[in-house]
Amino acid sequence: MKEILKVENLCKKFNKEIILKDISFSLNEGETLCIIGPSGSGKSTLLRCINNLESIDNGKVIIDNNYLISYVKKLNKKLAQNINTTMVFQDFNLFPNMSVKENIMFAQQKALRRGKKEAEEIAIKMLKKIGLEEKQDFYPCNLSGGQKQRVAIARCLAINSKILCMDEPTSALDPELVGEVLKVIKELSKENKTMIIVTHEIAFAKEIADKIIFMDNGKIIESGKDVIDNPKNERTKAFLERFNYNKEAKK
Amino acid sequence: MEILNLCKILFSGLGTTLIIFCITLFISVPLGVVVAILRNSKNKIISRIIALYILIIRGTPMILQIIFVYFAPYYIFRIYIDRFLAIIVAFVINYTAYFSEIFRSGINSIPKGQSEAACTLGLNMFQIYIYIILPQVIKKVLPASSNEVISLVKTTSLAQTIGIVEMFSLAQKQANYLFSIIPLILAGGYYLILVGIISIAFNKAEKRLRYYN
Repeated sequence: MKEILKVENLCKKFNKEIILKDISFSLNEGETLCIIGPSGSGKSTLLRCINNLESIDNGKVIIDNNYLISYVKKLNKKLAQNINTTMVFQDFNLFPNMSVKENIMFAQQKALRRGKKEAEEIAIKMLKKIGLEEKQDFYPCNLSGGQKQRVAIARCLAINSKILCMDEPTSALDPELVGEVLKVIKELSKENKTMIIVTHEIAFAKEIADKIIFMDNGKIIESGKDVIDNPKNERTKAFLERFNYNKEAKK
Repeated sequence: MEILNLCKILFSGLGTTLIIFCITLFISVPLGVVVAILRNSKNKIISRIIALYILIIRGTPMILQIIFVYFAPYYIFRIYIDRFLAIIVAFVINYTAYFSEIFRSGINSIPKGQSEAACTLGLNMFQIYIYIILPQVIKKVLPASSNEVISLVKTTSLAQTIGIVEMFSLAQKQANYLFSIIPLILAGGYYLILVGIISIAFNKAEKRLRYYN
């Protein structure tokens, strides 16, 4: 299998506080990677570094063997415009002044220079995929949270980047709407889309992930396929136990 | 008959009032956007220079600025500049500062996540400003800018400080000549009509942009 992402010794500081310490991992094409861990463990920052939304203080990010982000003092905005990776955000970040269809067409037309007709066809195809074809002329303010997040996913899919990153895609949704978003992500995982998902949905992570990383305090504590079923590290066990406890308490 | 005649006299000055108003508006609005973006610049030298400019303009009376723009070239370089040019320059410098602060508040109110999302989708900063941020800023700043635009109509009367003949200076002249308050009341009526038209235009624009939130 082809290696699509390699992160080597990535370090990140905010002022003097160290957020990410020496993170290294790799990801193969077509795999789904889930990153779990407590709040403040640096999961989102890691994702933002891979997407070039944060500068890094040390280390390398190599995508598809040829693209490289290395230490830069200042964030180079041009780097963020590469479309090797796209990102789905916790708070959707749809463009409120554009309709659903325009949201999906916009980057295709302006960044990929696709013609209007082609962009529109792809947008409709993606809307069918997420089951929101009938909402194409709605504005984001008239959609529910779950629908907004599905549109955000479709917007990234239309760009067809090498890696699709999702930063807690269901955290801002009410419990009833989480299901519809997870269903879409599950389908993508089945289609072998390369994805990195930061999530608090442990059961969901277990179901779809080809690889799981558990992070705490800016470090990778444990990684592998059966981190959730068979944790080895005490910290991982403690984190997952609390989760299980919550689950039982809900019942 | 006397009143109709007065109306005609004042009307002849209305042209100058409107020309000062329109030129100032068409230059200072786009310039205000640029200044607002520069004020937000990460380059501290640029943003501080802009901050200083805004402080000086907002911190001194406009009448002083008008007189300064008109007379400073004479005192410093011994050259005269055209009155009309001086008044336009003074108005543009002044109103750009006020507009830029309104636009800056609008730009800063757009969630940063939107530009980040656009960035990861491969769009550049220019495209992000033109297609995503500014359209939303226009909607957000309409109510606040209507204040500035309305004040601009009335502030044109300050042009008379450097001897430009506009509507209000004609009204004052007639009031002195006829020893009557009526010319001033008529001038007030003209301003009211202009401001009324502007208010209607702003209301219509706000309604048109109500299709999204």
